[in-house]
Amino acid sequence: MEMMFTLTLRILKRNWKRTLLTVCTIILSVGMMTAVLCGGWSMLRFLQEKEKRYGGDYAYRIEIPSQQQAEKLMRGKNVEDVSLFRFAGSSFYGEPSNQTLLAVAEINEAFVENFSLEQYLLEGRFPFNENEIVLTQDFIEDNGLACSVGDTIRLSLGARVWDEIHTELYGLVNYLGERESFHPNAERTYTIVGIVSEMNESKTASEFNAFSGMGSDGGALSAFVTCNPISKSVYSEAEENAKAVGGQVSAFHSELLLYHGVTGGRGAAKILAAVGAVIVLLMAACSAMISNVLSISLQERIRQLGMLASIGASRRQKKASVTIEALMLGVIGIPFGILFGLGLTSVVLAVIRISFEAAFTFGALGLRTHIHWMILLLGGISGIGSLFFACQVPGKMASKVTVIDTLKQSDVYQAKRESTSHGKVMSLFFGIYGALASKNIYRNPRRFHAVTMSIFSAVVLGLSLYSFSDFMLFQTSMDMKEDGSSYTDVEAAIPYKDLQRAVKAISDEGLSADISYRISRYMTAAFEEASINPDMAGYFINGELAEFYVVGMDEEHLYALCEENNIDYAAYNTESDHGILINRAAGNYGPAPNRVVIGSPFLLERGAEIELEYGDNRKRVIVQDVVNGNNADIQSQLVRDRAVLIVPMSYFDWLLNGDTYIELAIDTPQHGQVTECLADMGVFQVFDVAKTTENSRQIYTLLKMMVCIFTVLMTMIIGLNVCNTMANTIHVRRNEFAVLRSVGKTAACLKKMLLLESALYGVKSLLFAVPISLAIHYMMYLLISKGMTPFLFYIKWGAYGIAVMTVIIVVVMAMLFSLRSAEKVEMVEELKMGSI
Amino acid sequence: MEILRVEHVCKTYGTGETAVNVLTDISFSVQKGEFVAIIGASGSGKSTLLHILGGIDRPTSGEVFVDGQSVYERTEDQLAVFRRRQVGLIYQFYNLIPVLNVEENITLPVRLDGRKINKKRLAGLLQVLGLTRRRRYLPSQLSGGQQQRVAIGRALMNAPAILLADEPTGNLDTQNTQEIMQLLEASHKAYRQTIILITHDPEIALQTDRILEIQDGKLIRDEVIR
Repeated sequence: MEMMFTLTLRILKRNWKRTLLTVCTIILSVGMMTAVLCGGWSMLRFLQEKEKRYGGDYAYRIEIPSQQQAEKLMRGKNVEDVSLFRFAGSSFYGEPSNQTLLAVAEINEAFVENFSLEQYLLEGRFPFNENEIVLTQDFIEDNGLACSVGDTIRLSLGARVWDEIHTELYGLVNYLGERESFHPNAERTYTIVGIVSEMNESKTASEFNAFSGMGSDGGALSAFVTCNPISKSVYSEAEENAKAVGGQVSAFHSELLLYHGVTGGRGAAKILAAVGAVIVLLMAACSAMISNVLSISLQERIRQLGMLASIGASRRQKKASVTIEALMLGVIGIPFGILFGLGLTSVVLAVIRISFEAAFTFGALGLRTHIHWMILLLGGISGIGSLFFACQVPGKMASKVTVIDTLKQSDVYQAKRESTSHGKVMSLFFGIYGALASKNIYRNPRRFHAVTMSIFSAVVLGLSLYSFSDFMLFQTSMDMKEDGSSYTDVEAAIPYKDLQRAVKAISDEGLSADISYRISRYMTAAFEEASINPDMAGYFINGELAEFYVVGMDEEHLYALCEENNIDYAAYNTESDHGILINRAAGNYGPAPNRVVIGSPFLLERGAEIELEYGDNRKRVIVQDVVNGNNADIQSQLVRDRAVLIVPMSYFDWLLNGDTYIELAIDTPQHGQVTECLADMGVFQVFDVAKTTENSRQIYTLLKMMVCIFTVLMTMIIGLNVCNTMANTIHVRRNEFAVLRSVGKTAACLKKMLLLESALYGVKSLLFAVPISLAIHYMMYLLISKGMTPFLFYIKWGAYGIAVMTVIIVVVMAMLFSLRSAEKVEMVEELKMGSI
Repeated sequence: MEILRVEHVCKTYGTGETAVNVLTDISFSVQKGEFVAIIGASGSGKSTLLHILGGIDRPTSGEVFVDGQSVYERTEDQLAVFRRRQVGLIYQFYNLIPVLNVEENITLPVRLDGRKINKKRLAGLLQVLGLTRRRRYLPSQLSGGQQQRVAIGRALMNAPAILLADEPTGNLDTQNTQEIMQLLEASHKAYRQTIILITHDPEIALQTDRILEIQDGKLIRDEVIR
């Protein structure tokens, strides 16, 4: 074996270009796998840290009867720390109202630490004992209090109870609109030791605006248990520890457990399985490419192997030549590959962190590269695994090399009858060079298919992933303006009678907001055939009944809408039953199933009357204006899959009363604060649309970026492979080239032939890759548009153009690379050698 | 003592209509220490016969015995060992490993066998072959004649039962041809080496002890000339 080591090492040194190409292939392959592992691990660590920071560093919560049990719990199984929490009670600091309501929580030092409350501290410190308290700055400012650190406050702590009988006491209304009463049960005097900001991001602390130290005789409390390590036995440990202290497990920290791979459900197993599947797929793809490279190297040494066989090399020794080559290349390629992967991860995560700062940076906590020894080990193992599988086929080929095969060159580069029948089409267009090129590439069908498959796979994979991310991004952007901003930043549903209070609350906060309000209902109407557009027949139920999305808009914004769209507002000002018909809908309304069409369902003119039905109510609408064309501005704010009737708010006078819920659509740059303001007011149906939309956009933009990086890497690996393959075909055909040159073939002719060969690889790959990519693109469209807002099918031909250009660049590079090799063939030497 | 016996060896390539009978019913034997030439026109089957004798190509039918043992009753691995230890092969185009130097090429069969190199034998061979000063040279740094000497050295290193040479001088000029033939003659005499040599050159054939002539795959002449 020592001989084979020496031999292989020298061959690798001699063919240093080939060796370098192979090592680069291994580095890229191992780098990709390491990057996936490291990136995934870093993301997981980020999610763990983020969850600990905002959800609390605990594994489960136990309700214990008193603080004495807490000390016993500290000595429990796998308990690292115990954070204590007790709801001390509500209190009103001033006249009872939602604004003056204090929710007081008692916490210990461990709670402050494990729930990262220090980040909210503005002044002073957190309380050490039950006589100290911190208040939120918002509470102080909202109530105009002159409190500061060091002051004393007296609170009457009690419980808020929904109680019909005693509602006269305070008459408060909770967020459900239920009247409630307040029952005080303790008087406490506190010293203010600190002021904190609103703890909105904290999942546990956000409901409270005052925190005092833990009282020793306060009764039952919650113990949040921190475990180290977190393992699958956390569930049994929790039960055991709870039983030991006479308590009860009330909750597990599901998100944190999930991020630690522990969950009662199969979610974590699915995620791990998905990551594992990606790695296995990458390994398979990399193995295939490295196997091709090793086969190429074998091809160039086949004569040597035959000679070794002639002097008595055994099958094991012949196979060892491949295995040793893989081992040697792996010794260099794998460590560098791991380093490359770690570097790539760092760069990608940095780009993500900078590009999506809002989603991936929270103060000192940011998405960073985390390296674990397991990542390095797995990266190495995946590299070794890829190499191991990669050298199985060429190793077997090497062991089977016989002397007679190499002496008679009856192996792969002899022309078989089948290959000589190719080239008729090529010769029609390109003459003898085309015919030769076509015959040559079919001489080794296995090699040809390996190269075309790798180009094909890269194109299909890249375009499919791009299609997916592009469709998702488009879906997310459908309800956005061209500049990426939302049509509506905040949406809320409130009782009509609370409208003025909401407007005042926002105004009092000093927030800049354009508040429109509307009421909407789905109403139906029957139509005769003459009014139905036959191309949109699918819109109608039983051929006659159509559903409308009827929107009653406030006067100010209806006027603005009319102004923007050159509609005369006068009629709507005086006639409440006149409406604007947006005669456009998108859905599966055409004759072909599963095909979204966009069109005008109705053949109606101005002045047409529509008898709308809503339950037992029948209401007439006169179509004052018809908008048939695409009016994205209006429909993006409403619905896309139904025709819309916009009417004055007064149209719904028959339905509207104080308790009827209306929709607020608020345009504001301060969408976060407006959302918070409405939530504080007691509006529980409030959505920060701008934030949600932006998050979704960020995720899919991120996905698109990942796809591009992945595609670039795959292209590089495949480019290396193709270059390697082309160089090898030149090497094994050098005698032929010598003969061709000896009979008068010029360098230009040789170039033409090689260019055609390279082009054939690319064309054959694209012939299948483009149609299949288009088919997958359509399937993605069906998958994504079903069940979500329907949109028309589209193709981004630019992406296909880039794919084709990339293939062209790869094959041209391969051709230039192989041309250099061909030009180096020594005519005389090769003719002398000939074939035996 | 009989070192080689060939019994009714036939070799056919292809099947059916495309079948080609390269060798037909070849039978002969060679005594130890004989220097035999096989001659014949191009395509007569000389090389095929040589490959069959060397355990490289299996006959379609017939038997080959070396040192009393059937060559083709062995497994593939046993055949490899046979080629390593009992056969020395020399080719027209040398077939040296380009990345190994002279010494390494010569000792290749020994290293493949995993045995210790007999330095004395190696030194002796290098001297006889006139390659002592060039022992660290790569094949690309040697002339054709020198490369062929290396090939001869490799073939002789394991003291094989038979030495098979396929047109060893086919690629050499007259002077080198003479030198190679002298070397083969010298090893034949010095080591009582059994040599079977293929040539199309009658003058070279006449330098051997016995001539076998192949024509159209058949042995048409078996003549002892010395």
